[in-house]
Amino acid sequence: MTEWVQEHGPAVRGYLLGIVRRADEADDLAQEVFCRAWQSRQRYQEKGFARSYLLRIADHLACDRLRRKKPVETLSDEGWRNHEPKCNWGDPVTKAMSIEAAEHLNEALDQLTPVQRRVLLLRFYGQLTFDEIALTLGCPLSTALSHCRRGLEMLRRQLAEVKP
Amino acid sequence: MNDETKRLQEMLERATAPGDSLPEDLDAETAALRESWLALGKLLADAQSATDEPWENWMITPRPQSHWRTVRWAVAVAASLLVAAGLAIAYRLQDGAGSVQPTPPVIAQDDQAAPQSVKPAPAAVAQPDAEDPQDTQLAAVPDELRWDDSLDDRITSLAQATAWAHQDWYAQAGKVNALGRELDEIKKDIEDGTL
Repeated sequence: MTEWVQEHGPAVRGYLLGIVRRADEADDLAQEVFCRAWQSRQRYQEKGFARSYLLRIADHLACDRLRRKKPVETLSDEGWRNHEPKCNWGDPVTKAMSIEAAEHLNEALDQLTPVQRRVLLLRFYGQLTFDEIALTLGCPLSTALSHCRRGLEMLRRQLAEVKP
Repeated sequence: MNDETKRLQEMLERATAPGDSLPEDLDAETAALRESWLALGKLLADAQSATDEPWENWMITPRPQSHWRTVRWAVAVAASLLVAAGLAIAYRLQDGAGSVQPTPPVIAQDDQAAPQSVKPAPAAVAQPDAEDPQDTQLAAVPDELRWDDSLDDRITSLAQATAWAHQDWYAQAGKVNALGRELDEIKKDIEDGTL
């Protein structure tokens, strides 16, 4: 399991972050993913690749979390400054870059529908085949392909607007 | 899978293939999708590298939910057992209060009345309620055993007690005690030579 965490942890967390869009929730769910994987390790042995197995668990948990999610009240900047724990980024430039990167990613992901996001992130982080993605989503292959294509086209339009 | 789906799958597999290169042999549509894919990959990698924790230090700490689930199950089972025990006790008490404890036993002897100490135990068997069908059935028992002497009466009581003990499970303990006392009494009388 330790090997799994080190090998697939970043991918699982990245996928979860792309879906739930909050680092703390992504961390929380990533823990849950590995716990679930450990609890049902017997079933995994019969099935196949570790990363796709973990990402399917992650997808299931993330969708479940989003379904049950209560409305979140957003704090003002002042509120964030009062409540957010101090981070350990020493370099302000690094911090600014990371914030900027997260904002860009959020802008891009905001353009996608939840299903398009799932398809693209499953493909990116898990390198799942489209058949596996369709299985994970519980939809026909043609639907999964269609979501992928539309998602990429949407991203292309959005990136074209940002570039100039 | 029809041709269109197959073509789309091949195109998307090429557009979303691992790596960050943009092959030159791609057609225009696939190349456009590939560019979008690479841009998304860069955004994800940038955002992730900024927030990644050192995974070597990661510890998987199972949540205590399963523990609470076990506790909840244990509490539920304990509560069920408690309720079941309470119901059983209540039923027993009700049964004890409602059972017929009518008159003292009439155990005739040749020369003396039945001792008072014997009264409570065989009471239930000595005077069954004649209107109860069960009791009617039981009342038939002594007729078969009648012998017209004091031993006969005792055997009759014993037979009734035996029948009651068979019929009434919850009152069985009391009836068994009654049987025991009756047997002791008979044994004592035989030993004393009074019979």
